[in-house]
Amino acid sequence: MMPETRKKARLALLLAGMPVLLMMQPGGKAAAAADKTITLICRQDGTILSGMEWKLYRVGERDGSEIAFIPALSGYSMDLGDLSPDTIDTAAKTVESYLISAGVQPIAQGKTGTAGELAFGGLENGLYLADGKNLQVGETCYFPSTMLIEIRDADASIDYDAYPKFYFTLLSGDEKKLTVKKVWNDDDNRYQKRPDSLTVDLYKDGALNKTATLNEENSWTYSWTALDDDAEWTVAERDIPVPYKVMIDYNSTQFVIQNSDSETAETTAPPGTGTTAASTVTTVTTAPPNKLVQTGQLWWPVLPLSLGGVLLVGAGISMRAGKKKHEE
Amino acid sequence: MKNNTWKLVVLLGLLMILSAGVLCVNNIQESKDAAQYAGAVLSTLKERIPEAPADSAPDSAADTAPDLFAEYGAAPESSEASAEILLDDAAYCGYLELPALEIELPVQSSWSYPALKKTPCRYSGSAETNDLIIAAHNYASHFGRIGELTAGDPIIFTDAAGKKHEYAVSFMEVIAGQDVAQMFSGSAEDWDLTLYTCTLSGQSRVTVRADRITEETDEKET
Repeated sequence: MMPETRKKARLALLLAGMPVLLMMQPGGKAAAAADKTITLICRQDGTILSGMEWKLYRVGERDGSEIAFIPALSGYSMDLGDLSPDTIDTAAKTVESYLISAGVQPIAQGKTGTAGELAFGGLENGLYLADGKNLQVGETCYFPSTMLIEIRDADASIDYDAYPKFYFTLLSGDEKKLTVKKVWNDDDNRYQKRPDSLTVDLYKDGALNKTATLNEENSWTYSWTALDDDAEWTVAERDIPVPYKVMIDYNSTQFVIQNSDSETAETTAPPGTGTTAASTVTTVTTAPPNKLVQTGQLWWPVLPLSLGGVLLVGAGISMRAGKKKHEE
Repeated sequence: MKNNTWKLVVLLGLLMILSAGVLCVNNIQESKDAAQYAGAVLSTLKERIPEAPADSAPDSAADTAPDLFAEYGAAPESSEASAEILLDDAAYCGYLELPALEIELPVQSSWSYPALKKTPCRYSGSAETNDLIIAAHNYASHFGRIGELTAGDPIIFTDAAGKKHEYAVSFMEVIAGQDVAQMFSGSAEDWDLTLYTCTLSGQSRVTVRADRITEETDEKET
């Protein structure tokens, strides 16, 4: 387990509140390819989170400046931004959602030990996703952030210490309302590419639980009630319409599935709703940008139709009278 | 053929009168359906909305996570919108009372054209930030008569958490259908609540602006 060269990439993630994308390229001597270790360290404010379950997935590998995803994920048009600290959180959530949807199995899994640490060894270069299960300590439930971790080191054996971010809630035992909302980032459907409706699968603890149809009629929103508040829900849009890319973000009760039309996203400035400026994940507008809502019934034709009709009937009757006179 | 020309003219005239009649009946029926639907929703909504909370009550204290929908600029984006009530797969942020017109209507959290055919909808903003804009069809039972409101008439919006927001009509204007900037101009400064609907032609919007009735308003006036 102990590598020849050990470097610890201790990122101030708890302070920054971000999951990690480790892209360390430490100097070192050539070593076997599959000899890297990712160590997850799970402690929160003096509380050692031992017994927390983690699954590790290998989701892809670097291909030049791009990430080549494993075949199970390659069919999904995911919007992962530039994988910068501003976008890595939602990128991890998006990949996690589609890993669950695609039924991908983890390459390794385990529980944190008494020190709150868990090491996954024997890893080769690639992009990994660490997905932790929430842990109940007393009446508090700790939810670990999902992390994308990239090992790019070409020639050295290395240990990466990753500090997941945690948020926690007090378990109430009450049912809670969950809502998924589709957000369109396509300049108010400028190119008329939105589908009339789309299907979203809702997964509870990794298993398909229900399916929702989102459309304009329900304001692209669906809500449901969860009876057990420590269950882990994820959502995935089933058929991502061309040419959109999908990005998924969530918190304990809200899920946002944002579809971005790449052409529009590149050419349209965000409308300034006060979100992070550095993020490449643009926001969308809720009101039509160039027109107010049309709230009128079609009354205006009634008058011209009625008047025109009366005039024509009158004209026809007078024509008939004239014709009769002429015949006589 | 010439002999039958008058018949064709009369027939065409009758068809036009019939079309006008069908359009009228369709509009009236649509208006009736909307009134019935809104009425049914309103009674359920009132049952589900809790009694007015204390002013100092924190916003959904249990969950301190930021409103994700607001972060992505999607409705619901306001605090009372996040406390919404789900009925018939539609989310409602509260209901509106126009005592001068004897009208009470539920308000959906976000707008869409199918939603507007049923009830008024939140178009933008929130009561909490004094920039709430509510749009509705010009059905007589919805906003078709808001042009009859006069300065000082009360408007009450009760949000889904049960909090009453009271306003008084301050002024009215007609805004061109394309003039989005004018609709938003002066929000939270010149007005705290806006109601709007189409004129009969559909080209413009009858817009009612209202100020919140608070101590602040009193101070402004004095």
